[in-house]
Amino acid sequence: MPDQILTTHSGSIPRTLRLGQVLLDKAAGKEIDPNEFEAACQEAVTEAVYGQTAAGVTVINDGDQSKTGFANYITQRLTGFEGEPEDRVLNLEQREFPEWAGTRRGRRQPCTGPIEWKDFSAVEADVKHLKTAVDQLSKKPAAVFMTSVSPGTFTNHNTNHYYANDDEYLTAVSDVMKREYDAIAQAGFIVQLDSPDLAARSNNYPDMDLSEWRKIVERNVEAVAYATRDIPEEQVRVHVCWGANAGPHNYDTQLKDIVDLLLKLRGKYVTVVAANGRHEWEWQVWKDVKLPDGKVIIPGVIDSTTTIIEHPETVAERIVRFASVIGRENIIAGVDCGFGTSVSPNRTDPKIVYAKLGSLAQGAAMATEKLWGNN
Amino acid sequence: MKTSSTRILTTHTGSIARPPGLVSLLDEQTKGTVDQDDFDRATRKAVQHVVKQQTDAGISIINDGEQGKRSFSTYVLQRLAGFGDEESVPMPLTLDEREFPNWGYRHRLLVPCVGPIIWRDFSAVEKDITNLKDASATAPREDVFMTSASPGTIANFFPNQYYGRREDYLQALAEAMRREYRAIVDAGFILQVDCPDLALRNFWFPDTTIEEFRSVVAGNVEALNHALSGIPASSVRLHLCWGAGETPKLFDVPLASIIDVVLKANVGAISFVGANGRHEHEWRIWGELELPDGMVLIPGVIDNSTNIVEHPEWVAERIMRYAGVVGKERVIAGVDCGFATGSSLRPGVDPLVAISKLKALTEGAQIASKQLW
Repeated sequence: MPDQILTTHSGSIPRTLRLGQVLLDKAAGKEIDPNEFEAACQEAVTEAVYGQTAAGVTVINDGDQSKTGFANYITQRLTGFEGEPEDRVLNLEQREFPEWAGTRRGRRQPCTGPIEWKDFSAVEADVKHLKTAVDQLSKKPAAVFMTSVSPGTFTNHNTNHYYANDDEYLTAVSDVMKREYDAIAQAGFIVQLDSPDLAARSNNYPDMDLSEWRKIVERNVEAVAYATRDIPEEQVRVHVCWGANAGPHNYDTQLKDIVDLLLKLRGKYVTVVAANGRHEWEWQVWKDVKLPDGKVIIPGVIDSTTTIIEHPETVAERIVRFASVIGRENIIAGVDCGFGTSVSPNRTDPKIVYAKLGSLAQGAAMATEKLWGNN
Repeated sequence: MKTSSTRILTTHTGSIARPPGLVSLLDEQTKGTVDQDDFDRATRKAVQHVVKQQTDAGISIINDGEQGKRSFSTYVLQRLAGFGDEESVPMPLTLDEREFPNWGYRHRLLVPCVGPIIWRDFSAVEKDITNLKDASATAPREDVFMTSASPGTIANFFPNQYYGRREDYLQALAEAMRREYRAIVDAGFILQVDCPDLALRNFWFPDTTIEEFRSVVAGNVEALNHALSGIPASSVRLHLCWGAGETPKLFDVPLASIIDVVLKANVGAISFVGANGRHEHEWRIWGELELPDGMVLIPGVIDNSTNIVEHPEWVAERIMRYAGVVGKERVIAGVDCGFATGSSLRPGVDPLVAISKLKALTEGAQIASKQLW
């Protein structure tokens, strides 16, 4: 049983300037120097690990430093994505607020051939960088996690143009991704599956009604269980994602409409968005839910979409409110979503990100005092 | 001032995005090249539009969206004499800018006050009043408000190079602005005085201690009260402002360290930041204060700095918290700050999204009203 509120975040931290440049070149298809990439990665991961620890975060990761994007990194590691990228369909917010949407259009890389590993060394390098960085810490974290794309997000982001049907595609993806998940777990890390496929209906299936879409979510929940079957549940956490952007979010799926499916997820930890104004009220949903034994919820108590640094008192209040419903031992304080879900020339100042993580840690310490102080 | 006697009333902080054509005309006005008739026509039309936007969204206490003003504070340049011809006084870097140098900062220059403050064009006030009166006459609403800059805010934006002491400058500004305040109240509107001068230490006085800043605030409140003399407190609301932008806000003055001084202002309501994550927790403080009789609170339950549209259930929960600590009759649901505080700045929130946020405010107030009455 924990005797304090642990803290974590959703995965990505803005890349260092040095690594960001290499990744932007890589994303643009330019030739990159593998030695420079390796050195920049290790340096960036060490900095991210140090930054989180110095801020007081207790469950830490590599800040997704080596990845161009939380989901699209995978097409650089696997075969089957040699075709031309496609435009994404406009989501409901883009349709309602065209001026806000501007001319931004997402692109995705379709699957046009058999999926196989072509560069598993990228996974091994990630593991090595994170281990090296953590080994250098004098104060060890409570746990270490590493993100990986979930099977359902993989299939949403990379439309199937090759396999006979969607089920066959999802199974193939799960079988291939299992190797990455297993490698992360074998390193002793918690595997975090990044899963906008479980919540971001407007982005992925804007024209589908809720009940039809729930069937896809259900199938994706099963894929998580299938792909993680050889990993202890204690080492699996699922980041349920409503989209990292500071967009209107007025068509966001309501938690009450999916919470039954989320509780079926294989894995000890489930993250939910709970800090931004669209979702903060949903702590109430947990009043009507029976939490399975040993399940830990990681609500966002920091909003990743704004540079406003939350006051630690606000953070503490959010944690205590959640703990009052699900119990202090069933909560880890987290962040709504990633701070840098893809590499960008317009990154958020990492110093602001670490200041927000500092507020998270201070708020968790205040909440710990309130929740355990009398013991 | 109408209060929430049978349901939670709603309002916002003042500025709403201006149409692109009017933005261009405001730019021309700043350069001194505007055709006055064009400007008057465009402003009048914009006020009618923005009043309809608010009433369509169900807002109960409405305004002109500050359509005729280039910004909530520097609009006085067109109205008062005594200011210099160019921006020449550098502002210090804010504490946020010093802490986060890579976040990006601007070197700002301010226009100084170089001569006696006197009215040069009071007709601008009269036109604003006529436009809003005409637009709101038959509109379904509970009250109408109009914003105006506080003496301390003008003193901050236009550094004193003429008067002997800051007190004298504040006194002169109070004497001048009193005329605008009275005209607004005489028109039957609620006067909203915009007061970043009472909270924005990080921006205006980054090098003062909290104690020193409190005495600046006390001087500004004194000047404000002087300007408000003869106006019933129940016709005035004060917008206590920590800055409208999406900035780190790490050094924001805590509400608890200034509110006792702010409460000395002769006003009937205080609008303040309650939605963003830097200030959300401060709702508890209001329950611990001795509030003057009849004092109404207008907490921000919508964050003006983000495009995320708040869920009505969450708006309702925020309102309920305030009703729980000060009583439902004392609460009017508002927005943290303005949606378009300056016409030359790109609004932080998309204009259409801002209207969706006002609708969420209305729906949230309805949910809360149902639970409270």
